[in-house]
Amino acid sequence: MTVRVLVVDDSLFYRRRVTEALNAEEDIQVVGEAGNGLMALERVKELAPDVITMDINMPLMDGVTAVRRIMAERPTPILMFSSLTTQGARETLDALDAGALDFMPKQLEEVSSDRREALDQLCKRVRWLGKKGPHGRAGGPAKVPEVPPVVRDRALRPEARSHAPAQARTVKLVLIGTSTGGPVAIQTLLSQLPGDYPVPVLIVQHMPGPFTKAFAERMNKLCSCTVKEAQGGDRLAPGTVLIAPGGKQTVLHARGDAIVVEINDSIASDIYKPSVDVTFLSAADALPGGVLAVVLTGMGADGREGACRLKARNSRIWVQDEHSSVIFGMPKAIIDAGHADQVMSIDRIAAELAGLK
Amino acid sequence: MSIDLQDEILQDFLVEAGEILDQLGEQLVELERRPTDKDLLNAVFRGFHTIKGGAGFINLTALVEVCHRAEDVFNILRQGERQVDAELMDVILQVLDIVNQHFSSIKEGEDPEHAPREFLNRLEVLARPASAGGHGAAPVPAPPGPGTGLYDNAPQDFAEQLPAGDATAQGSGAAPEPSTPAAADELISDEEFESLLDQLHGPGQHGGTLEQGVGGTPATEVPGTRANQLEQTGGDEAGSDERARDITDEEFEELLNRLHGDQGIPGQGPTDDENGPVAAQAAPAPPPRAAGMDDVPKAPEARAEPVPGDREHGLERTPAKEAPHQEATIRVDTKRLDDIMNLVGELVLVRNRLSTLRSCVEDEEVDKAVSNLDLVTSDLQTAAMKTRMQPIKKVFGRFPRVVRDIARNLNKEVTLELVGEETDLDKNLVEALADPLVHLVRNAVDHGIEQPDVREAAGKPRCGTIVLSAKHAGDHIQLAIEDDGGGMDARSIRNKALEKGVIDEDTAARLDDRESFNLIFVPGFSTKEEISDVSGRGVGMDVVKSKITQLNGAIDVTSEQGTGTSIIIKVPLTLAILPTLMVDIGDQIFALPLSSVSEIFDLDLSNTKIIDGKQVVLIRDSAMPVFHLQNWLIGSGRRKEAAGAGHVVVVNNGNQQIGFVVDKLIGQEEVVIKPLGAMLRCAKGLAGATITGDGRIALILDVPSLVSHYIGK
Repeated sequence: MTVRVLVVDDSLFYRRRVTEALNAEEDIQVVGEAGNGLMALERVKELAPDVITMDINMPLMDGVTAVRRIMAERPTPILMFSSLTTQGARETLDALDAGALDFMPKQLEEVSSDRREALDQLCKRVRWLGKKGPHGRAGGPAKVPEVPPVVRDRALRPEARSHAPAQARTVKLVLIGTSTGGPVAIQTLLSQLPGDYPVPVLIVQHMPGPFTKAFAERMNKLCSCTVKEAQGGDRLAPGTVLIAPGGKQTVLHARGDAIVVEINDSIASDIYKPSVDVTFLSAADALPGGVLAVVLTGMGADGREGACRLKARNSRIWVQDEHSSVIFGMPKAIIDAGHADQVMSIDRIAAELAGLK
Repeated sequence: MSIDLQDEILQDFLVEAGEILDQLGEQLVELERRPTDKDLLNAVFRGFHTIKGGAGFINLTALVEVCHRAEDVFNILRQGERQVDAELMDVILQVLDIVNQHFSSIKEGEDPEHAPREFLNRLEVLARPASAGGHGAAPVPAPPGPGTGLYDNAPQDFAEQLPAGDATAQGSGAAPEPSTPAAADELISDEEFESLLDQLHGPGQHGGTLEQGVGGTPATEVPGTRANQLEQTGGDEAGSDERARDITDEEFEELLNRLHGDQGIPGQGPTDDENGPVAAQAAPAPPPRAAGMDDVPKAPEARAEPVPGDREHGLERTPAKEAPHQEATIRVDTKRLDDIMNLVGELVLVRNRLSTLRSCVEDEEVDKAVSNLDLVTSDLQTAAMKTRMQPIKKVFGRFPRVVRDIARNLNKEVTLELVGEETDLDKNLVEALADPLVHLVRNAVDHGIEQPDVREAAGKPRCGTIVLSAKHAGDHIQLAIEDDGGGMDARSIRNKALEKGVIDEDTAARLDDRESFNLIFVPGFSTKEEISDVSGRGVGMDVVKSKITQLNGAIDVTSEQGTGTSIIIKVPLTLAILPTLMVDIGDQIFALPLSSVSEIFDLDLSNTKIIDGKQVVLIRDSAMPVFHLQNWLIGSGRRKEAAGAGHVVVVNNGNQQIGFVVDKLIGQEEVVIKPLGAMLRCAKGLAGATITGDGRIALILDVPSLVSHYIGK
């Protein structure tokens, strides 16, 4: 089925490039364009597109406001184009908060030095969002419909089916890995954790460099726990949530009793920076059996390798279910590989995590 | 990277970014006047942002580099963390110059050179909040780190260094940058600095930022005109939202709704509301969609009579609802528009011919058909002309910057008011007018407006005003450059002209004030004692004049000492089709451009006299020289000076009025100018030729060159 796309950008030049790239795909068709947020609202009503690509800085009505209005009037999956600046990060997070599902750097050379690859990436994301269907997600993370946890026999080991609640005693670290749709999912999780949460939390969210700091700042304001971007030398501590910095790789080392964070520069061959696998692998060795890994919504299969080793070191793995995931890629990869102990909706995961004693 | 000028993507970029650049020039100068205007700051931010986006797409790294930094600066500005001041403006305007240079390079197929490192550094300095050193230091404990000491002082130091740095960046960039920024860079890395700032500003800044991000461009403050354009064009440009901002939400909504209904006719939708008959008249033609259609013209004043029964001729208007997702504009090579215009011209000639033939045929059916053709042709002509229309804003837009730069240069205070920017005229005219207008505006600032102290002493406000206006006046566009400066002294102009040998004493004695003022258009005349680098080289005004004349236009100066000078330019709406007065001289038909004709009366010999060996006619108590065109143009040798019958066509030649005696008046006709063949090129006094309705060839007279050729010798 063809994904019908509305392209919103105040630059005709940019609209054309995006339109060209999308229309080159057989299963994607740009059905309309808009030069500002107000026009986007009109177009959405007229055209009922499957997916919207949205610029942030536009005259008359900016992208963030437009997202908010669209999500209120006619929820549609939206892909934001953002600037990789601190300001751009804040605006993008605002947009995600308002209901946008995904974002990409507007400077495509920041996605990949190869233009074609960057545009492929764009098409891929649009296609994914298109599959998401028209329901989108109403603004605010709390409105995700509650569904009972889905337990897949094929994927789960027999003992997991008995739903043994996790114990804080055995869990030394909650380690979360996610990509597309992650910021909102994480907000759902973190906002329910008490300030004196007994377990350290480390989050690996696929995000470009400047974004993670803004994301951490935002979470810190919204949540009772302390949330900060991880820095080299940080020690894991209860009540503190660390977010792996974008553009780098975060690994954990056991040093005596403490678990210490080390931040490494990423190498050219790294697809994801930060990579969930890299952190999962190091955590598996640093805290054998002590990790509760949670894989949330996201495209691709980052985390699968790491999950394999975590399982081998007797740690547990929860994954987000298909219904509440923006993109059921990473969770599915874990399930398909047979590593998932439990498959739950995001609200359920939030409740379970908050209940860790 | 090599630049492929054939690349469509690159061309796309150049067109869009070029438009944005034009706007930026305007917005930046506006910004100096309203430095805290959030919308304006946002608009400029978006402008740089969009150019950067496009440049990034086609790997113009040098361009990305400089736009990126400018964007950062404006991000800080729009968040109120730094104030716009004159020095900052100088730097930002330099950015604009650099970007323009890059554009020129790209257009020549060269990869633009990177901006000088020092300049980029200065931009980076400006992209940090100005207040950091001031209030930031007190409440927040200074974070540890090598940069602490510097940090407190640095921004202030930077600011102090700016004027000095100004000179360096202007030139080759060879002079070393003041040491402070360099030292800062060594001691404190960007990231550290960044994080220090965030620590200082972090929490407080957040709320504000979010609000700005979201509500930065509230719909309520959108000028209606802007909305029109956006609706028509798909909103291609970053907005220049600085105009009329008194529109309420409801009004805006309503406007949008209304526009929406009309959207199917992009070029004409809005005009329906403003200018019913014109739009209706033009409606049958497919909507013009052309290059530069972002500046979709409003309908010009009707050239032909609006015809109420238009639609009875089966000329249904394009349905108002168009598939909404269709692109509203396409870009068309102007060459194609020229071709269309040419063909329309030919069609007009055929139409004229048929109309003439009709009277011979006496057949009702033919009559009807020809009437129809007549209407359709007029409509087509209007529509084709509209595709070439651009608002004069295209030219006006550059003036705020010009005025600002000169005024700053000369230490004068000048406000430029632009009136009627949306007036549409032919693209060629817009381009052709640019240079003359720049010259006149520069002159007004340089020669017209006095130094602030002088003004004050004369009891005027320190800040001078120049009004640049454009309006439709019948078939013409009237442009005016008016200043409230010192005005011109007719006597000193005459003396100067004498001194320079431009005129002789007799002439000087005869000239009235108005004629004296027009001496400034005589080659080799310049009144300024000292030559400034702004104007005053004594070339230019005559060039201005000849340029305007080439456009079938006229230029006139009036001035009053102490109160100011105004220069009025009249040009036709378009260059392709010329309204003329057809006259018969010795059984040959000639066409006089209607723009130069001011009145017609019957020749009464009893009213003529011979003065100085020249025949004059008395009209309203003044003597006007009359000339028998037959003597000039018809080489038969029979001189007709004494002949009784005839008409006098009064034409304007500069400020002078002269009468041409012709045998018969045929009437007004719109003609398409055809250039003369190579053999006739050197014939004086002829602008071209055309084919008349009855199939004959008429020569089109060029009044100024005719007069200078025959009277001058």
